[in-house]
Amino acid sequence: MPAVARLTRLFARRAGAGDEDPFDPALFSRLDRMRLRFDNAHGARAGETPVRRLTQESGIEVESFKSYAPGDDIRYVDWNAVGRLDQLLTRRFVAEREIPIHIFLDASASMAVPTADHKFTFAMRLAAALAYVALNSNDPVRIAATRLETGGVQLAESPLLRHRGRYLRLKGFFEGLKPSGATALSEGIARYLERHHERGLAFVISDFLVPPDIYESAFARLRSKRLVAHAVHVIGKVEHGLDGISGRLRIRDSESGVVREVSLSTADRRRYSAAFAQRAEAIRALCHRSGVGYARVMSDDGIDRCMTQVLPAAGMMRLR
Amino acid sequence: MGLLAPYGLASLAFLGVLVVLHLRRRQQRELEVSSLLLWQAVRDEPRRGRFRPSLLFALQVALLGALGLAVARPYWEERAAAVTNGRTVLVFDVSASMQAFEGGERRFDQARRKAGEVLASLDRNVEVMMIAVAAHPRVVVSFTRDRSALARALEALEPNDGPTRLSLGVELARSTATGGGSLEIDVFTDLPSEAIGVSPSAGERLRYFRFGRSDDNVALAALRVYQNPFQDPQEARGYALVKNYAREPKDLTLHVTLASRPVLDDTLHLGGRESRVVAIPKLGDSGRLEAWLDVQVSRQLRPLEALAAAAADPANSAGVRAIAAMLADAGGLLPRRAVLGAISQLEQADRQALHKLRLRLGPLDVYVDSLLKPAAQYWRAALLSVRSGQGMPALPKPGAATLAADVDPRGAALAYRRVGRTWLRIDLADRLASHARKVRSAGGDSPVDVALATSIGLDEAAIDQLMGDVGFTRAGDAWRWRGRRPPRDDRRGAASHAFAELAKLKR
Repeated sequence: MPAVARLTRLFARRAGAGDEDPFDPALFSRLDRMRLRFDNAHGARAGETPVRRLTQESGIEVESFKSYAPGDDIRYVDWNAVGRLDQLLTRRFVAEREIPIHIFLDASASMAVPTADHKFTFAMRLAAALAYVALNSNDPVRIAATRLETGGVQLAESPLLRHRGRYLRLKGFFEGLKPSGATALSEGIARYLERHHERGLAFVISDFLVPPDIYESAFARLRSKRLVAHAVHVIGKVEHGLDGISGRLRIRDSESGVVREVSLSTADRRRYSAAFAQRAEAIRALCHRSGVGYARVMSDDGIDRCMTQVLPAAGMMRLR
Repeated sequence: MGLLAPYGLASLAFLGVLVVLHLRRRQQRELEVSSLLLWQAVRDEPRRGRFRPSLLFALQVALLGALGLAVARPYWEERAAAVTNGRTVLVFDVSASMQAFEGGERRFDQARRKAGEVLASLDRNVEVMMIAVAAHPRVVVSFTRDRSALARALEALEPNDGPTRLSLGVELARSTATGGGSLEIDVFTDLPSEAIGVSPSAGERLRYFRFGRSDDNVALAALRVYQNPFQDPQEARGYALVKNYAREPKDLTLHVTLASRPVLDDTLHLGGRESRVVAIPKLGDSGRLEAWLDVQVSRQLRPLEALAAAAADPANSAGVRAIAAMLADAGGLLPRRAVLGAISQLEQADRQALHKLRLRLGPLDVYVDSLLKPAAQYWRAALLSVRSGQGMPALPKPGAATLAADVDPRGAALAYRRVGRTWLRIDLADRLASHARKVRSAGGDSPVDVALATSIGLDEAAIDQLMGDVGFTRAGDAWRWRGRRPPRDDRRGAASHAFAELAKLKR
C-alpha cells in the first residue's frame, strides 16, 4: 500500500469518521439542546409532543371550543362561556402524542468500502445520536439495519426504546452489526413496515449506491404508510475525491463482485467527480420531488457538527 | 567510430532495471470500491498491453543510454584531410550574349557571382585554373591554390562583343590538366549544354552552370573583311557571321554601312541554332564598316524607332516631326531648352500626338520614360558609341536615384541630369520640377518637395541648382520666381543635331 494512502487512512481513522463516541456522556450535553422536527408526523399514543391541528378532550393548552354534545365529559364544559353566552361549550386541548422514530440503516457491504471512509461506523453513530435526541423527548425509537444476503433480506432490529435509560442497549445492538451483502433498502423497509404499523418519523441512512428506482421505491413505501421520511446521504471522503488512488486499477464492486480494469487519468478523475456530483444531485432532486427531507453528510464530519449544523440546515432538527 | 572501454557498455544493463521499475510502477493495483455505479464515467483501460512507454520513460532511457555510452568512452575516427591532387578548371563564356541584361543584372555578373560561390566551396588544397573563352580560349589564371589571385582575376574578367567556342575552352582545360589527378571542369555560360557539344570523359567531372532565363538570342558573331594583297582595296569583300542561338527560327534584318553609307540591308530567316555567313557584295570604297542586327534594337528601343518613324511621317505636323527627329537623333533624351522653340509652336493636337509617342514634355527635360530603363540605356549607349566611334561608356548601377560626381559622364547622361555635384535621375528631377511648377501655379510659397528631395538624398546645393534650372531663386528662407532664362544664342552652336546644322547653314 502506498505510504500516502496509509497516512490518509491513518488520519481518517484519527480525525474523521465521527470520532465522537455517541455513547460518550460529553456528547450528551450538546445533544440535549437539540430535538427533532416532526412537522405532521405523530403517533397514535399519547405522549409529550404537542401536535398542532390535533385536539383532545384533556390537556394543558386550550386549542379550541366546541358545542357540547351528549357524551362529552362535563368537566370540560366552560362555565364562564355558558354564563356569558347562555350556550354549552366544551374546551378542546392541544393533543400531545408520542412520535415513533424509525431509523433505517443501510448495512450493505458498500457502507464499509473504502475502509478509510468508515461510512458504516459513521452511520451507526449518527443513528445512535438521533436515537438519543428522540429518547430525550420521550419518543420511542427503533433502529433497523437492512441488507441482502444470499439467503434473502436480512433485517436486524433493535428493541423499541421508550426511555433514555434504555439508550445504552443500542451499544450491544450496534456491536452485532457487520456490513455485508448487497443493498436492500426497499425490501428491508417493506419487511419492517409489515411488522410495525406505527406512524411517525423515518430516517434512512445510506450511501444510496443503488439504482434510483430502488430508493425511490423505498421512499414510496414509507410515504404510503404515512411516515414522514428523511434521507441522510453518507458520503466518504476517499470515495468522493479518490484521494491516493491513481494509475492502473483493477476495481471490484464490493457488493456484486464485478471487476473492471481502468487506468485512472486526470481526465477520468474529472469525469468521475462530475458523475459523482450528478448522482448526488439526482438523489436530492428525487427527495425534493417526493417530499422527503434530504441531507448530505461527509463521513469524516464529526457527529457533533452533523447533529448541530448539517441536519438542522436540512430542516430535520432544531434547537429546543 | 570506436569505443575505448567497450566493457562500459555493460552499464546499459541498467536499462533493463529501468524497464522493470517502469513495469512495476505500471503494475495493476487491486482496489475494492463501494459500487461500480460511480465508475461508469471512467473508461476501461485500453488493451495495449502492460508496457506503455511515456515521455518520461523515453527521457530516462535516453539519459541512461547516454551515460552508458559515455562510460564506454566512444571516439570518432576521422582521417586527416590529405593533400589532394584534385584540380578544378573554371571555364567562362565571355561572348557578347553574356552581356544580356536579365533582372537588372548581366548574365556575366550572375556567372561571376556563382563562380565565387564555387570557389568558396572548394577545398583549400584544390588547384584552380580559370579560362575565358571568346572566339579563342585564353588562360586567365593558371593552376593555383591562391584564392585571392583567383578572386582578383574573376573581378577583372569582362565579356566582349564576340562569339564563343566553349568546346575549345573545355579541350584546353583537359589538355592542361592531364596527369594531375581528378579533374573537374565547371562551365559558366548562357548556352545549353547540347549546344556546346562536349561530353565528360573518364575520370572527369563536367558541370554546367547556365545563366539566362532563355536562349532567345540572335547575334552578329563576326564581321570580317578579306582583301587579296594583289587586289585593289576597292575589291575587298566583307563577310558577316550571323548566329541564331535560339531553338526557334528567327527573322531578322542585317544592316551594313560603310562610312555611314548603307551597303546591305538583308532580311534573313534563320532556323533554330543556325549560323549563316552573309557576304557583303562589294565595298568599293574605304571607310568605317559597321554592321548591326535590328533584332535587339527593335526589341529594346521600340520607342526610339517610333520616334524615328514619326519624324519621317508626313501626316505629322512640322513641330511634331521636328521634336521627334531631334529626340531620335539624341537617343530619346533632350533638355527642354534645346527644343523650346519647337515646343512653343505646338498645337493641342501636336501635343496629343507626342503623348501617343510616350513623350514627356517635362519642365526640364523632354524624354521617353521607357528609354530610361537599364536595358534601354545599354542599347542607347551602344548606338551612341557606334555613332561617335567611341567605346561603350560605363553604365550606372541600375535603379540608382542619384550618382556621385565621379561616374562616367557619358553613361550617366543617358538617364541622369547633372545637378550641382551629383547626378539626379531624369524622372525624379522631373517630379521635383513639376511639383515646383504646380505650387507656383497654385500660389504656394514652398515649391520644393522636401519629402521627396530628402528621400532622394539631395543636398542644399543640388536643390538650389535644380530650382534654379526650374526658374526659382532662393531669397533667404523663401523661394522667389525669377522666370526661365531664354536659351543663349551661343549655345546653338554647340548643338549637333540636324536642325542645328541647318541653322548654321542659314547663318
